[in-house]
Amino acid sequence: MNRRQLLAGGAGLAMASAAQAQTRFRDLPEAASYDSPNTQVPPRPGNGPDYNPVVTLNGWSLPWRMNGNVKEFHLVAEPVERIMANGMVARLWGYNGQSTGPTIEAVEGGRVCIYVTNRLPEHTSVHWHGLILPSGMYGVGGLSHPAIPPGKTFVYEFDLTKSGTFMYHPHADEMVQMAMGMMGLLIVHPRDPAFMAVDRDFAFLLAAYDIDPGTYIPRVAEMTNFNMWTWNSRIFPDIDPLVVNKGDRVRVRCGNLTMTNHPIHMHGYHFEVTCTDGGWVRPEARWPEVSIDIPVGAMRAYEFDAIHEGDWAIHCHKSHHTMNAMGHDLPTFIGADKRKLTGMIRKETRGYMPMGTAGMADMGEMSMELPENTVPMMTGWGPYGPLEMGGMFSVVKVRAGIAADDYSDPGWYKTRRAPKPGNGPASFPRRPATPAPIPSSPPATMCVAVDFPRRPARPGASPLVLKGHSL
Amino acid sequence: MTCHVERLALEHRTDLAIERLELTSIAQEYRLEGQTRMLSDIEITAGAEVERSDTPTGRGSETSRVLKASFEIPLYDTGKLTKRRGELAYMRAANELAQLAVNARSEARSAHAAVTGKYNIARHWRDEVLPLRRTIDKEALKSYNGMLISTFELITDAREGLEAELSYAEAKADYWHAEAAMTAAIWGAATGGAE
Ligand SMILES: [Cu+2]
Repeated sequence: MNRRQLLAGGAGLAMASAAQAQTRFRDLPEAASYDSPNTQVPPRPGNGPDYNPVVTLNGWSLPWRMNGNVKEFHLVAEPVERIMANGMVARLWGYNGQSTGPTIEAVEGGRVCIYVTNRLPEHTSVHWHGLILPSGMYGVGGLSHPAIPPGKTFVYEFDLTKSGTFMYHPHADEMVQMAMGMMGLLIVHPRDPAFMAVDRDFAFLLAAYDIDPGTYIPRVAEMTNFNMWTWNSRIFPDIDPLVVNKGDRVRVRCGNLTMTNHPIHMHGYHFEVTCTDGGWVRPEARWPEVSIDIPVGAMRAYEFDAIHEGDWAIHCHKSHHTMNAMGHDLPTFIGADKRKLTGMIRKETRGYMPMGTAGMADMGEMSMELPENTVPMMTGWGPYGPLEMGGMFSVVKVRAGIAADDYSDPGWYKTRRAPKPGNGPASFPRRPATPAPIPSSPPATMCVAVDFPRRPARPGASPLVLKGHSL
Repeated sequence: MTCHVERLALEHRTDLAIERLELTSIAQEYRLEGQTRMLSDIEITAGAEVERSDTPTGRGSETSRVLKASFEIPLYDTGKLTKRRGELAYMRAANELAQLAVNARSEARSAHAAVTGKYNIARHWRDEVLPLRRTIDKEALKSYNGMLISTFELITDAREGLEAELSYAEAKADYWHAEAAMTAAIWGAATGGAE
């Protein structure tokens, strides 16, 4: 470690003098901060080698300055408040005002200098996942260099020897700090802008949290039973859509910093992995897929030509990862007759709504009062009804005529022939949810059909009143 | 407060009134005259000097500072030997009356302590526990709405809420019982107002 790396002097390192430290602090690049959870589309670089910036879903890219031929960034590790979705704020640790932290973008062959100021109550470090670096720059606290104490600034400085898809995260009290939301993307663009060029380049990190409804801080000791499956610390229905112009070449980069794998599935296309955190995949080594498993601690970037217009779901294919907070010990009530019970419960608990007897879709339609600071486990409305999703779910919106720098939501795709459920050739009576038990009474009573009228397909059609719904 | 209850008991208890009449009748029977001073029940049972002394004992005045409620028993100048038998009978009755008064005070005090305690418990149920239970019920329903808990847990919460209501009712019953017992301690013998 040279003196430049530990600006204000770490433990056991005498600080030169207050005046000198101040002078040095004036040298720091400005620590930019972002206070919004909305996607901020970065401008193209005005100076230096050109590249096509990535669009970080519900995130932003960190501003920089050039100091000679060194690109300088200032990361600030600090407590942040992240709006995970409307109606839910998480108190996390992140970088420069947000979790996920800002995306750092640079160009292959360049040299970067990343100042990391620690405003956390404990030490931290930044590990540059996937880069090829000198050992002392690798950010493992205690192994590569001393961890950065609270209040101190450490300087990472290195050459970017290869382009690709990378990420950064702490490697000091790593489990806790990542459970608190500390992570960000690091994109190294090819020196040759024509190499692996795309028109739109989206990026997000998978992060899992366990935040009990009614609380704000993740349970950092949770190992498996998370209830918030996020992209860039954001959950459906408030993950921004991936807006694409018809005919664009599109890349989606995805890194996994949760403790389990995520099969990311996109509708409407097949596509190929062109990059991992290890580097670009040779063309002869690619194959078409519709779901890409993102292993733990790994990154994948896939590409496709956006030739099919439409609203295409993109989501983790573990169905419980497209749910928001829900009870994990709920019994199955499908087929249970709750009518009598409902009357009894309502004597004590007015407002009790029987749910789950015909599946759990009730939840997507009703808007009942929930505990503070949480969002429904399944929610969201599309043009044809409730989406009944949560967590790791968004929509790729492919439209003709979208301007190159336009990422604003074009609204719902109008299907040429809108499907009308119920107008099919034959309307079959619905079966009971489970096979009927053998009756002990005469069969006359057995076939009395339970009335299951169709639910309104439109949103807002008195969601609370579900007449005839099996209680 | 305790003094207030003690005073009420001393004023109203029929057994004390009977014993006091008994004392008066003894005084009349033996034609005791020359009532010299009044001593409190405490002073008498504490063995205060009841023979010849015109000034209240120091102890008596000390006690009276502590106890505002007084129960005074008239004593006579019993120096005359001819009245010796009457004096003994009278002093015996006076001591019995004093003892009765002391017991009445004691019963009043413990009855009052019981009322206060039961009242505080009932009030705690009413003002602290039940509002919390209502909050729990509300939050339980919200958690149920969010499918965070199941119908069974909702029922458990509702049952615990009902149990809290029952406990409050029991605490209130205890309070009313204690209240009744205190009424008995003030107006009648301690046998009244049993549960
Ligand atoms: Cu997943």
